[in-house]
Amino acid sequence: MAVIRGKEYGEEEVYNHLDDLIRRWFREKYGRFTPPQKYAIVETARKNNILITSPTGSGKTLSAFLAAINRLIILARENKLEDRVYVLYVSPLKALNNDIKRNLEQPLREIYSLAEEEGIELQEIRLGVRTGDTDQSERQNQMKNPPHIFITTPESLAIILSTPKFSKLLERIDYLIIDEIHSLAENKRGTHLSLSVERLEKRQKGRMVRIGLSATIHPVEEVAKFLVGFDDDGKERDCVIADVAYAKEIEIKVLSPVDDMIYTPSEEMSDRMYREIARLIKQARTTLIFTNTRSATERVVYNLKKRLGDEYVIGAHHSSLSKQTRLDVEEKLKKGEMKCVVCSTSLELGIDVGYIDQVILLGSPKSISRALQRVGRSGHRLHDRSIGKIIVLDQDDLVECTVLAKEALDRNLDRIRIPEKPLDVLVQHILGMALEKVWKIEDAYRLIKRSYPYRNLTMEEFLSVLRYLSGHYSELEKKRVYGKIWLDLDSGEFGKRGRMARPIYYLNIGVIPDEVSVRVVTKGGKRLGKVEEEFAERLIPGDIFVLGGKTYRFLGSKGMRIIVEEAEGERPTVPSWFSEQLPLSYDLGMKIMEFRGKMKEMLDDEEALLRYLIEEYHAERKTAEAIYNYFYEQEMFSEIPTEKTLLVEHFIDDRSRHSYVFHAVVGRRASSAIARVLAYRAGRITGRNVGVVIGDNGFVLTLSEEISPHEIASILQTDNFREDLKQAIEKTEILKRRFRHVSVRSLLVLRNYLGREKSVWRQQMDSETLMGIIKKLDPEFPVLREAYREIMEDSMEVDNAMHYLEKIEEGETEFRFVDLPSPSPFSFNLIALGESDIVLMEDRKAFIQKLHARVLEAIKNAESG
Amino acid sequence: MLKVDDVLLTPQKAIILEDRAIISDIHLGFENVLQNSGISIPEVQLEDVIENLEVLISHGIEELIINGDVKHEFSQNLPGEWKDVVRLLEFLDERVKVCIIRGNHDNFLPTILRKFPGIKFEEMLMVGDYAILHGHRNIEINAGKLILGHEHPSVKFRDSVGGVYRYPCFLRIDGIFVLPAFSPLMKGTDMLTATGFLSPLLKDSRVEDAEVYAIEDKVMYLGKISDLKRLGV
Repeated sequence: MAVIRGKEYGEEEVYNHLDDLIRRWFREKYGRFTPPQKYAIVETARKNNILITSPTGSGKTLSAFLAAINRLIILARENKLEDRVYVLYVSPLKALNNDIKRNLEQPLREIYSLAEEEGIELQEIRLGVRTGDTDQSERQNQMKNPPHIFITTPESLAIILSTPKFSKLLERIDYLIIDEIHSLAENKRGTHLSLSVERLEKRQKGRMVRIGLSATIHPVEEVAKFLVGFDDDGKERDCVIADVAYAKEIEIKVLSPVDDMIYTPSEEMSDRMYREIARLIKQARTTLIFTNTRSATERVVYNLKKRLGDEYVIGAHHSSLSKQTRLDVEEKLKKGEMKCVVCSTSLELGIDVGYIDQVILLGSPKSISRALQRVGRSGHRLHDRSIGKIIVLDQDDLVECTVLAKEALDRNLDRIRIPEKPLDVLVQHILGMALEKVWKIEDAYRLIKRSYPYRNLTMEEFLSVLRYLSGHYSELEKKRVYGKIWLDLDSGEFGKRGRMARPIYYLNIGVIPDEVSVRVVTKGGKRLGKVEEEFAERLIPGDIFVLGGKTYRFLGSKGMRIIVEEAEGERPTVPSWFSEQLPLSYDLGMKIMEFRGKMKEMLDDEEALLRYLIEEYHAERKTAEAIYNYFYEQEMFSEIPTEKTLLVEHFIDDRSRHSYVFHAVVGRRASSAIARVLAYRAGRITGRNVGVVIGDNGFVLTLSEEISPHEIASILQTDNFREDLKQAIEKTEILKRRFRHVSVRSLLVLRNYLGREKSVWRQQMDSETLMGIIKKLDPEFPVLREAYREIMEDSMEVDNAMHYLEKIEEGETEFRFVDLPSPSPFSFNLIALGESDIVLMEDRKAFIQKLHARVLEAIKNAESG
Repeated sequence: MLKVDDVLLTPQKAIILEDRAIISDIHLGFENVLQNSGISIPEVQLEDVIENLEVLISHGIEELIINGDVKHEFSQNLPGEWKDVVRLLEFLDERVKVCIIRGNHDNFLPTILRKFPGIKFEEMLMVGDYAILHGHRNIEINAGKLILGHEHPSVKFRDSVGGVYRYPCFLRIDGIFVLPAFSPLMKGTDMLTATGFLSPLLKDSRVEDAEVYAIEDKVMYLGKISDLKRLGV
């Protein structure tokens, strides 16, 4: 049966699967089943795995829980409820957990009072929530009186699985419900959970039904496989897909507050934007605004409050705010007491936000799925329309959002990417498994491979992780550290080692890297804010950087503080390595290039083009005109790049450097892979360092000397692409940063050990030194291997990058080169706003030799002058 | 090697004075300390240290002076430290004369040294006009010229496109030489951002006036800290 599409069952058929009491309660309360309920309840009652994708407000939660509640009520009625967990619910958000508990308590109360009315005796059904915030006494209480419905997070589940006592209560689970699975599948938290689920499955004495809840997602089959995993023959387990995503109507509009997006002064632009937003807010009952970044959230709230006054309640919501502040905003939102809430991305998922009738997106959400997810937050009830307005401020945004809005309405979602066998996550679970018992290597390997992300894990990879955890750092016996597990290759077994293994696991589990922040102060000690430690580490005295919208000069550092002075109006000198920006998706990039092709084709007939935009893309007349003008100017000045061409523009910048702008809209991730490989290859030709700027609409290479179009054509190749990317990464900053995160996740550097928090690491070791040591010992070391994999596959999408280059090799995409006197309209934003990195082609030796020469020169001049 | 005044500065992070080589801050057993704070790295220093010492000794030196901080842990001898220190000293004892100057990390070193009666252990040593001492304490000295350790000096630069480079370095200031840390694991203190020296013997000196001799595969003179700051690198 494998993964199959589900069907909508009739009302009566659904009712037939329910206990009398529940049937009566449901009839009285709702009367009718919603589409996801019609899909899911029968399947889950029949103990089939199911993935439910449907919009918020469609009764999704109950569709997942009703069969389970039904079963619990039947047991309660028969007085057969035992002291153990029957239903396990996992969600990525702590806030969502409390919400779910409340949303279950309500129907249960109603069912119980109904039972009382009918004179039916029911055993109590207990609910319990366990997250990182759950205190000791509550945990003890849960041990004594186990909750029948247990609500938790992926991290807490992983911990519980390795506790000797509580894990025993999880051996006969009827239903496992995973909420917001779309947000988990594509990152390491989901990978982590998928292994926990297989560990949980292994403990089961009966059948555990898996239920996944998801927002609209593509391809839904992959997510279904992610939910259910594989059997030992490598075949996916059975799963029914209930794809009810189409049930809700949506409307998305792109709005531009000004007619002229180039020459309107920025003050007027922002004035007009706030005026427009204020107008929209006043029209609606409750508005939710997404700004993409935390800093923008604060700015927008400040400006809206100024404009709208106290008459309207406006609040901010983002991850840097305190938990209490966020909860307050959520509560008020649910009660309908907010006029407007401004968030970064934080309200994209999770908690039921209640009365929202309009969503405003400031700037592009960068992916079609994200746009749908956000807009879907409005229109609370199933038959309400979801209304989204995207406000654009520049021409690239305008084009991007126009394309995006159309694709979203046509439901052409971007594909989700599920990370493939991250070794750092595996490390944590092997330690967790070793805490449970002594394992046969074969058995453990088989269990791991049942999880979707690890289906292709090789025995060699598995053994490399076991060896690492047991303290072997290379083939040489003397390179050993005290292992966290013992490994006996002769008997083919492994198990935990020492008393520290358990606390290490409990205190260091999880995949979210913790950013250490450094305080920024003035000479006088005034606190200005915080920056990431890694950012601080890069600063050299005299650097100018931006913090909270102001520019500061770095003077020096002292412990965990950096000292600065104000440098008003000066241009920042520090490249933006730490971009908060969301990356454009590959699939949307492809659509934008096709759109460009279409515009180029129609450019000769302005009226037809405008009509096309208005009819096909629902563009307003003035935005359609803005798009036409933008394309017209590009064609006149240079040429319009399309899906059939790779246009490279060359010009000499104000510092006499050669800039090469590559108009390849392949998503920021694939773009960074191609850019770095080309930079590396160009650097090999010239022998000099190459600057790289990566944006959503392409990338720029900056060289100190010229290279010919022929040379550029010669480096646009897939041959050795992965190898060259690896080489290029080795010479960039991103590797150091990722290595640091991976080494924490792999328990190479413990976040928390014996109650101490890695002070030595901070003060005396840097990731570069540590990486150097490890590379020397064993270049195939699993921690290092994972750092490369994570960069190349997850943050760069090497496969999409190669796919694009293949099209050039095969002649499907034509390479075109133009010399220009200055940047073309299409490259303005790229040059101004891209994130930069550097591929070092000169070694340390060359650098210091040059420096030496400069010093001598300076000294000579000083002496003679 | 670079000749400065009457000494040689070598890329092996040593000062050669007559037929003696002076190094400092080996911090053996640092891996052990890292492991105890939750960083699982294997023992890698000793091998590197011995490799570099072999090169140094091959220059034909008679005596090796270790100017403090042979080992890392102040308050005890960790098992790994004990093993590493013994192996290092056995290696040296067979080849050259050895004198160890006490560093602030060396409190428990004497226990290990009992096995090596031929190795001297001093607070300070005079060689020609130079007083050689670690530098963590203020000691009465009747010499104008000093060779110190303790500071772990290095310099960090960023180039025009953003690449960051860090080099260990010797410092020379007011007739005083400061040695870089011999340990490959110490990242060193960046003198371009440092606001002062650690050593009380340098309390009257300004970091700005220190001359930098950076180490890559050669030793290179880079002028004073103030020169480097002026160049804006």
